Amino acid sequence: MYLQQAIPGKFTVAECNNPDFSPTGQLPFLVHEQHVVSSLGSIIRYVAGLKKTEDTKTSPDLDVSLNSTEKSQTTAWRSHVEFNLGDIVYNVLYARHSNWAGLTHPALASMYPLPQRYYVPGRIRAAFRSRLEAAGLWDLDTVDDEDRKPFRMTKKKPEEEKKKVFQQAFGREKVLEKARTALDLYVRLLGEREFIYRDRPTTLDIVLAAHVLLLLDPPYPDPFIQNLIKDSYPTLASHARRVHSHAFGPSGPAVPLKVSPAQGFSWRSLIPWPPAARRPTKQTEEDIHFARMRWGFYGVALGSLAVYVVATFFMARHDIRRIVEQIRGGQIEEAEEEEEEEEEEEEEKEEEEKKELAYAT
Amino acid sequence: MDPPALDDDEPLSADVECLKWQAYLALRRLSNIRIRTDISPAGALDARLPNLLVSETSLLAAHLIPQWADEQTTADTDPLEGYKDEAARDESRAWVSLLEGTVHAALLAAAPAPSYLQSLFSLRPPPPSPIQSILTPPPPPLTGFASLLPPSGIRVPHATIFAQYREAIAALSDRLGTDKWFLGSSEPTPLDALAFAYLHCIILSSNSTLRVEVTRRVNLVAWEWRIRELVRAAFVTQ
Repeated sequence: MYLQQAIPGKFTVAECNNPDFSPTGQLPFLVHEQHVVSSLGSIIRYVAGLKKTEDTKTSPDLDVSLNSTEKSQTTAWRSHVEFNLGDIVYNVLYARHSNWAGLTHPALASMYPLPQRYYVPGRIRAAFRSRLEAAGLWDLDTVDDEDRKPFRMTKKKPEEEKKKVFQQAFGREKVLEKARTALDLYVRLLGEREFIYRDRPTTLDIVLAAHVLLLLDPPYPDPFIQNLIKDSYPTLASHARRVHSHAFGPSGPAVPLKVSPAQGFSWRSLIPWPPAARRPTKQTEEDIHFARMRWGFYGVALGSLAVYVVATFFMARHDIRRIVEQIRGGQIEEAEEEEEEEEEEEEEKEEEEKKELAYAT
Repeated sequence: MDPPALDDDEPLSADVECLKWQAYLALRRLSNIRIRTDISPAGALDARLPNLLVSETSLLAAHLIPQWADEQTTADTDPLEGYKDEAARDESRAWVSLLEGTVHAALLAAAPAPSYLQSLFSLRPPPPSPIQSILTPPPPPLTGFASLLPPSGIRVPHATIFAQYREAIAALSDRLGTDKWFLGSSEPTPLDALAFAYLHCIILSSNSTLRVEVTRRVNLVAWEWRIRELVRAAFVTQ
């Protein structure tokens, strides 16, 4: 929604099912020539800095019309939406068992090829556990994988079962209370206006609408938050639809959204590699010259190393031969000495025998 | 409370959570509060400092401190909590999220990592990183989601965290401007206590990236200096 408002028709959405391709390991990420930018905040800053202009209609910075106080308030409110309403979204998607089993897990699994569809969704869910546990939104209606195994090594104690029942009973109310606390603030912030600050969506409108739409539109098996927003916060629902319509509807920019097909299976994705460096699409003469110099340096370095290794080998070979000959020469001398000693011993024996014969006669 | 960063005579804690409550009590005009820094968090209520020893038999956890402060000051309950209007009170929630989320994540990311050699020889498993429970969206594992290797470690996006931190400090400075208290309040509010705690810890931080972002903003430094004297005066070291 942000890019469609900021730079309509000048971007392409590429479906990506592997967050590991991103420099930070999280989606979304933006690729612009040799720049790769990840995380929503960084993307917004990058796009806003592409072209500096005060014209609100052509500027890629959606907050250009805001004064310094409103911009600082936007920073704070965005943080509040991402931390508080974001926790509600994660709870609905990942922590509530009926939604996880009935919607989120099948949707994620369908995006991945074999064998990743069997373990990637679970890992994504596990990544959100620490965050939701810290917010007190995890153990409320969550069925761990350990509980679902038919043959468990240890039986659960009755006290643990009772605790689980109480948690589930009060879990829904806790999430509703947290949602109401946050949504009441946004209703007062929006007031009677169509958008929060001006007559067109700003960054805060888009961030708020994105979170609300994720709670409103998916067909959740357990739509308790969906019903809460529709029944008790119709202004927020209308605001979200209005922002969506402003970006993609008939009243929005008359430029179609380009979508490229999703990436297929990749063997590389099974092994953790650092993100591949992006090659620039256009190389300047300086880049070509630098590349040649770099490869030339590598060639000289490797060639010198090869020459050194070969020279060392031949020199060592000559020394080795000389040493072997010395060793062999030493062995021959030892053998000749042994023969001389044996001949001397035999001569001594013959002389002794002659002497004995002389005495005998 | 946790001990101070510099010397034992300094009454201000080096821990953000403890300092926040110290500032809260001081800005509620409570004074002559004695502090102890020789208590381990393991021995505290909820295993977390600070705790408030009201009498020899009464020890309060941190979340009960506001109630105790209300009893001491005998002030009427203000639905606006000291803010000038409802919009300011609502906006304070947003600033609290920014400080306890974005700024706190930057403080954790800038903290020195535990020794790798020590972790190799240690028999106990490494404790989970607190930054994992603060960042949103949560950081991915080091080995990635899609690899065949089991998930291990976390991949902390330092560049993203510090970029958000710079934006948060700039917003904080712009919002404070030349006001005496945040959001134009006439009296100190809980947001002022929280903001002081974070600014003080950042200024005393050993990480220059964090420190410079605050020290280059004169209004934040001057404001923190003024509040520091007020908070320091309310406490007595034992």
